[in-house]
Amino acid sequence: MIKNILFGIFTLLLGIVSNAQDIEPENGVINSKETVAFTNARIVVSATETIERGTLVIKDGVIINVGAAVIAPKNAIKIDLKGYTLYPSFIDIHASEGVEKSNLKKQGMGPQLSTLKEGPYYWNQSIHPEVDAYTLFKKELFKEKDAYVKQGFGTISTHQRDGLLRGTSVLTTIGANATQEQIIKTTAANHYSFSKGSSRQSYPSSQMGAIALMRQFFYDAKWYSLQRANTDNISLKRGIENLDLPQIFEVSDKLEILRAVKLAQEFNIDLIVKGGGDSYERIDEIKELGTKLIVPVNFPAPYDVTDPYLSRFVSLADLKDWEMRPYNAYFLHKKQVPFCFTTAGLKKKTNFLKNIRKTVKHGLPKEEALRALTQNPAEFLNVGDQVGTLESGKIANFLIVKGDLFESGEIYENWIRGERTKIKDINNVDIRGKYNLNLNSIVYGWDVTGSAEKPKSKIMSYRIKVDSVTQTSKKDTVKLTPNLVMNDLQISMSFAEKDGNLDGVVQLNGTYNRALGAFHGKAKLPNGDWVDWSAIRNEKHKNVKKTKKSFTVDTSAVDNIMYPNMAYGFDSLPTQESYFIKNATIWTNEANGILKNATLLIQDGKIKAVNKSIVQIPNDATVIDAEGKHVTCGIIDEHSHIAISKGVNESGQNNSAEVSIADVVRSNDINVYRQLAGGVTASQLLHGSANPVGGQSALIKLKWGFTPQEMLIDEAPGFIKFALGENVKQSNWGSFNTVRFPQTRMGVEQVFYDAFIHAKQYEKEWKAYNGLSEKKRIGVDAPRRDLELDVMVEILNSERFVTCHSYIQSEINMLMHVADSMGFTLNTFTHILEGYKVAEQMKAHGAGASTFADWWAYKFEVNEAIPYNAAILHKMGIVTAINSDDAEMGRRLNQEAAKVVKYGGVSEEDAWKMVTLNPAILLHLDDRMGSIKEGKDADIVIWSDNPLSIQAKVEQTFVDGMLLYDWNRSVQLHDRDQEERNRIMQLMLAEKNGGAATRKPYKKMNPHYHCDTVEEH
Amino acid sequence: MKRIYSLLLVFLIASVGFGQSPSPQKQQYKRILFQNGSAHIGNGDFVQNSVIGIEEGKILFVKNALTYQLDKSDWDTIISIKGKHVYPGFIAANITLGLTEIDAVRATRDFSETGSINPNVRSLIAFNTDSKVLYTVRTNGVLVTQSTPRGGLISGTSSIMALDGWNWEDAVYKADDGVHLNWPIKYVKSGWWAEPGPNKANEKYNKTRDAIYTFFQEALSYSQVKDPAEKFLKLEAMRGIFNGDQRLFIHADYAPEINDIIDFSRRFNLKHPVIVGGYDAHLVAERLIENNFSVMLGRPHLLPEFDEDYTYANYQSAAKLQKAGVPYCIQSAGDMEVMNARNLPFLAGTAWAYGLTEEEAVASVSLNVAKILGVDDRIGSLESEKDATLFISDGNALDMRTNNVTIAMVKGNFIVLDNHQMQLSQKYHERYGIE
Repeated sequence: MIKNILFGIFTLLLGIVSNAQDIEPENGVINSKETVAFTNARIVVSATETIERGTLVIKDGVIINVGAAVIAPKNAIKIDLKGYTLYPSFIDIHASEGVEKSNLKKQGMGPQLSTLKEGPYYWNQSIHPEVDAYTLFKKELFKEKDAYVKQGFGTISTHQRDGLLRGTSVLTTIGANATQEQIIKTTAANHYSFSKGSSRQSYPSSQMGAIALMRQFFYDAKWYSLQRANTDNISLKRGIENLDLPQIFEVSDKLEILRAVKLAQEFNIDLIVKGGGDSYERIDEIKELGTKLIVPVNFPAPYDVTDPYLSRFVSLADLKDWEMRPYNAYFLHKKQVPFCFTTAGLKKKTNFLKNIRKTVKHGLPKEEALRALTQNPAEFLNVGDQVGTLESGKIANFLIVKGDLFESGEIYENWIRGERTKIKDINNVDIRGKYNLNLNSIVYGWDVTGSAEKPKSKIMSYRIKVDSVTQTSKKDTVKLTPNLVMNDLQISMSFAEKDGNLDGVVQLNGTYNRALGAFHGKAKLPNGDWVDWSAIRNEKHKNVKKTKKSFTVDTSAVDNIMYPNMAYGFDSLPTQESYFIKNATIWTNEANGILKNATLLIQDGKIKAVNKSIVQIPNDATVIDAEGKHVTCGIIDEHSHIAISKGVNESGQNNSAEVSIADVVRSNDINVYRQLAGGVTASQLLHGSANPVGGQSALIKLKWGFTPQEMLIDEAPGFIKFALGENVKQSNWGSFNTVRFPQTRMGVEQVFYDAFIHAKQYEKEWKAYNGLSEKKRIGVDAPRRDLELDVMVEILNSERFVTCHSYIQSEINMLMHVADSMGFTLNTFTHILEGYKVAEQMKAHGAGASTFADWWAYKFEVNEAIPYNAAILHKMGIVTAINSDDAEMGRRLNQEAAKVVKYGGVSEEDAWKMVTLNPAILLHLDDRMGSIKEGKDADIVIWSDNPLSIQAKVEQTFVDGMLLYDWNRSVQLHDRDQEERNRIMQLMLAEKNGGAATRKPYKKMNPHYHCDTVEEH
Repeated sequence: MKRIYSLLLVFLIASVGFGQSPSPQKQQYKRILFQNGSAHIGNGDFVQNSVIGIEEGKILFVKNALTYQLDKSDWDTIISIKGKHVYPGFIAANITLGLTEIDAVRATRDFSETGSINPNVRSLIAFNTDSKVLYTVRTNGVLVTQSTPRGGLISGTSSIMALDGWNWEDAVYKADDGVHLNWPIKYVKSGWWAEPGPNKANEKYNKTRDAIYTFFQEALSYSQVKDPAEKFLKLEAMRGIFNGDQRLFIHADYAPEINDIIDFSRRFNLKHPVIVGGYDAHLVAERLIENNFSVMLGRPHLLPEFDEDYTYANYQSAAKLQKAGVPYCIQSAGDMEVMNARNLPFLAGTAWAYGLTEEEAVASVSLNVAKILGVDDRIGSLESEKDATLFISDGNALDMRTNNVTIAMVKGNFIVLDNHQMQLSQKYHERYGIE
């Protein structure tokens, strides 16, 4: 025990000793380490503790004492801060200023397939955990320093904002001294993002590719750390080492927060997420993640909505976002999500404090604002013992503020490590007032106005004029504007007179006497004579008191969140209810065919009863009279590209089996709602067709208003997209894309064989390893986990199904040969426009078809596509579906199905199955969807007419027993949206009239993906 | 009846040449009567049980069969179309049909000339009557097209072409019917197409608009000299615009641009200004009517422009213009427009479902188009003295399920309703022994 105490004392002493010594040799004699005491100040020690009147003592850049009863040491320099408040200064832990940028530059127009970074680094240029910002942080690059200091910052953590794994940030105070005296932590946090940054390496080209790459990197790094490798790799090492640091992930919006945390959770990584400022839209889900947030305050300017036509370009989503962003911090506070603020994203750092005040006006309590600027960021980076509050022992980083920092207070000084930066002068003399200026017996009037810091003045030169006729005299006044410079108590001033008391320039210099309110000094006259001058104030400057706006907090708008927060969003999420539909014509897709005058009961999200004579109708059931209407199960689109974020193709490699659309589902795509309005209830969101082995699919229900995770179909079978032909060989990508293998159909075959043969070897290696006893595993390296090959193995083992984009008979045939020889079955050929030529082979192989009703002529390989394809395949006994591949067509697949009646004479019932039951079979979902049968999911559509008729309109669409689209309610939502637009536009116009800067309306465009939509950054 | 069989035989013989485009047929009958079909006249009228007389390629009359006194000897052939529907040939305006074969193959793309002001380039002479696509379009009842150049500020001059002929010379309905002007848009797209950026104000809008005014001013002055000593092709090509012989087709969608276009039209006193696209046309309907505009409405099968729009906004546009009294028609320009031309009837069908009456919907792809293109003296409706450019469908032609064209005539000649797709279908049906 005693030993411990002694040790404690020892370390304490050591601490003091080391503080007192300089490591660096001084050029000259050692400077004194002055003690400074700030007395009579109001001291905001932390978010929870304020001393109304107290003293803060600092020495050597550190706070050594603080309190109400603290007496300033005798040797201390005392600064009387009566009327001022001390606040801890701010910390920005997501800065990227002052850090040198990557200088790797791609050459030429062709694709860059490998990294430009030479050395023991990861193969992908966007992954560089080895980049340490402390080696790149340069004072001369830190151009924003003054702005930071003026906005109240004392500490920043800055990093190279580039790439997926960006490396570490450096935590530094931003005082005037040399950098080595400022840095608190060389490696403060480890940074990530979904943006590949300056890398022009082809891979990854999409967000799902970025996610997959990061995932693979973590597996690689883990594997590498357990490996007796004979090469050294810094990236892989640092990838693991950096995990000991706080982990900061930058994303751009609420959905990406969910994605980032989901990815991190796979590797048990706790994240601090720098969001996009719109977390309020998914606040409950974000709260559930238990993550910390870094919040930007780059609030958008109001749009100029003067013109009724042009203002349509601004979507309701954007209008609402403008209104709600200032409330974001309030939402986080209410939900008790720990967060801190950052300047990141602000075009002008000088708007930072202004916008923080805006969040306070929008409900965030002042103490929470302070916490988010000081303690929270400090604690997030585990430096709460060094910065963030004004407790003794901490770095002397604080602000001297007049007034309330979060209302209209002004920062006078920003002290960083005990170094003073004056922003406004505390001791500023206020010379304003009315004077009589006596210059060599000439009396002038002198009015000093303007601000105390920057006084302006006028000199009145009086002359007596005598009228030669009447001999009466008249006083004439000439106003002169002198140059005036006040420096502490010294004044310099000059003015020029013409034909007055004097003629020429008069220069004055003098001293101000604070007690008397008077000046005296010497002046030089135009003739070169030096004379005395003095000025005595006879009237003090009167402050014209502005009527202060009372400080009000308004949170009235926070209840206006919709799901999703945009046009046609729900005010509250729909729930599963009971519906009893009667008098309907029901297309069952079952053996009983089309039932006339039939009934249907929906309960608990399932189909409970179909045309049963005795049915227990629940009391709370809504009865729908469907007289004259047709009722079907929902349409299933086997081939869709809606609701996908940032790239439908991972085109960077010819095999991207590791990527998954499920990682990037975009729940707030308006096309989800539009397709509900077309009777679609489920879709396979497919990867594009830019490479032979594409990515994994997301099978979703079109649950408008819900989160991406909720839209994914539970326990859906795994699917992957393959592709053949012109797209994968980059035929139509322009003349520079002639580098990536394959460029011919011949090469396409080899990509598949290569992948599958490797996958077999890979599986063998794993089986061998897994077969070893624990004992025997010692000394044997585990095989490297390869996410791409994992998926290929799943395909070989029929644990994942293939949907293959295909056109020409030769390549379709080829792929079936590949699959046969590798021992698996191709599940679906999609597009399959020449399927009619190889129907027998397809049937023998066991593949299904998902095709267009009538597309052709858009590229060479569809030259023999015929609209009779679906009919022929169907007649040959192949499960055939009609798909969209297009957001517009996806909402009228009923019309496309009807074309199969026209081209090839398929019966209406069978044609209808091509957009319902058959895609369900192809997706292995026919046990839950695709027909109207007891126990299946209540995905139901009520049509105004025969669904194949040109007259058919969707009246209601149910998904899992929830009414998600209703013709009549759509009109109500439309009207509500118009009112909501109007309400917010009024606010915008009021801001414009109030003088706020506005921006021109602009329209955010919705990406409209097809198979061959290829991303090139 | 014998005669009908012989007629069918003609079709069969014609389709023997597998893989070839069907040949234009020579008419062997001077006087033809279609009996007992439901006639959709094209002008809004409907005759449930009709007789349609045709002489030397022209329609003699359309009458009610119940009151018509038939004298069999009057006719070289009488064709019963009982229970079937007869329509005027549908007209696909504003598309590149015949000017391109395969979208992705540059060598087949003949619709967009380099340079920005090209009124002198003419689609007429590039129109390929052997395009395989044509024959997949006319089998759905689309028998005439306005073959239209694209690109630049002034794309060129279009022509009205029948989808039948040995060469453009005999396919042409009206050569050089109008000049196509792509009005600049006030908002331009930014970002890249997969991850689009915001639509931003077009800084060059005024400059581009000024360039149009300048060119038109120059062309107007030039047109006032009958036989100028020095000839300029571009200015010569504009003459018809000012004397009213040709239409000016101005491509634009939004109200602010359309308002500018109306001002422009007034300035140059245009005789037949036409808005092509016209997403917002219903919003400025009155001004359009006052200033003698017509609208060739964009494809109904398009996504709404704005999130807040009704999901079916484009489906309803035709009905809105119909109600407002703006002369309009439906056209189908857009993605894959060439192959999609065969879906024109179903675009009209969709407009029918969303507010037009059936006959208004028929008119929107027949007589309305002919009027706007200035060829309604010859085609567009089943009225006497017009060309027998018409087709007969087993069922309603505006519905996919029932559109089944069994007989069609262009300029009074029967056309072969066969195409390579039907042939391929037949080939494989035979191979597999399926029906």
